[in-house]
Amino acid sequence: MNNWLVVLQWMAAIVLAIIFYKSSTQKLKNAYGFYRIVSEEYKLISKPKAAVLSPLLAAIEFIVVIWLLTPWMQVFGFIMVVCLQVLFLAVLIPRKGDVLKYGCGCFGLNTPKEITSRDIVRNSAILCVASIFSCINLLGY
Amino acid sequence: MLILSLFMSLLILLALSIYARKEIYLQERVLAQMLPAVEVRNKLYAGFNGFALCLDVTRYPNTRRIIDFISQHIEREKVLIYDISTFNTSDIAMFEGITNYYYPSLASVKNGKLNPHMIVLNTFDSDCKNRITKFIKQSERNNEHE
Repeated sequence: MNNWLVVLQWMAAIVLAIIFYKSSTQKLKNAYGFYRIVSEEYKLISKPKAAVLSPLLAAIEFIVVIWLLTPWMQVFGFIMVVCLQVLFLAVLIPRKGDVLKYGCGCFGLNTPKEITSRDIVRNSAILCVASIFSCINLLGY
Repeated sequence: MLILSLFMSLLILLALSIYARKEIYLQERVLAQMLPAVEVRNKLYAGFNGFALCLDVTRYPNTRRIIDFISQHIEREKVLIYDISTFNTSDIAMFEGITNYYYPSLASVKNGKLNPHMIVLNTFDSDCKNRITKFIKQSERNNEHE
């Protein structure tokens, strides 16, 4: 891999790690708030399932941070970011314009928030960056 | 190296998930102990005297710890403890005369009416506990004089 590509990859990994670190720690600090977003705002799964899956999702985000900053795990980190962003976008896009009482749970909790195009663009940008570096690593450039 | 990393990741994942699940369980237990809107309304309409501790444990999870502190200073029968996230817009109407209801907060209640000069509970304020005790003493003194 070219030197400049390595530098770019590390820059992307660090930026993504910071974003996911902030997101995961907020969700872990207020696990109950995130659980209510998943079970009551998005209504994707039942409450008992949300009580298990929402902590798991916050923990996965934290694992992604570690993987992104570990050289031999970085490619898995990028792949996990792609998977998470696809999931987040699949949840966000159908609810565009909805005002959620405890926020969208994307990269911040607590305040009532409308899901706007900005949220979708931001998540899409993260998805694009992670996808590019996943492909570069998997194709061996 | 890869296997070890994956194994360590799995351990961290489990530990964090268990921690977060425990937090959810604790918050649910605290919420279950709080008064529902109907009960708060009935008590206020019956001319309740004492204090009203309004929390929002969904947005401010750390404020649940304030319950134990308040319980040490006020008898449980003299304080209405409720979570505002379980109230809907029409429930808020029961707090007559309060235009801006701040929460988490502690307010004194006289004949079922909340005093608008409530104390906003900020757990990050190192002097918060002192301010609460002062507020309780001051409110009790005012009630005695009246």
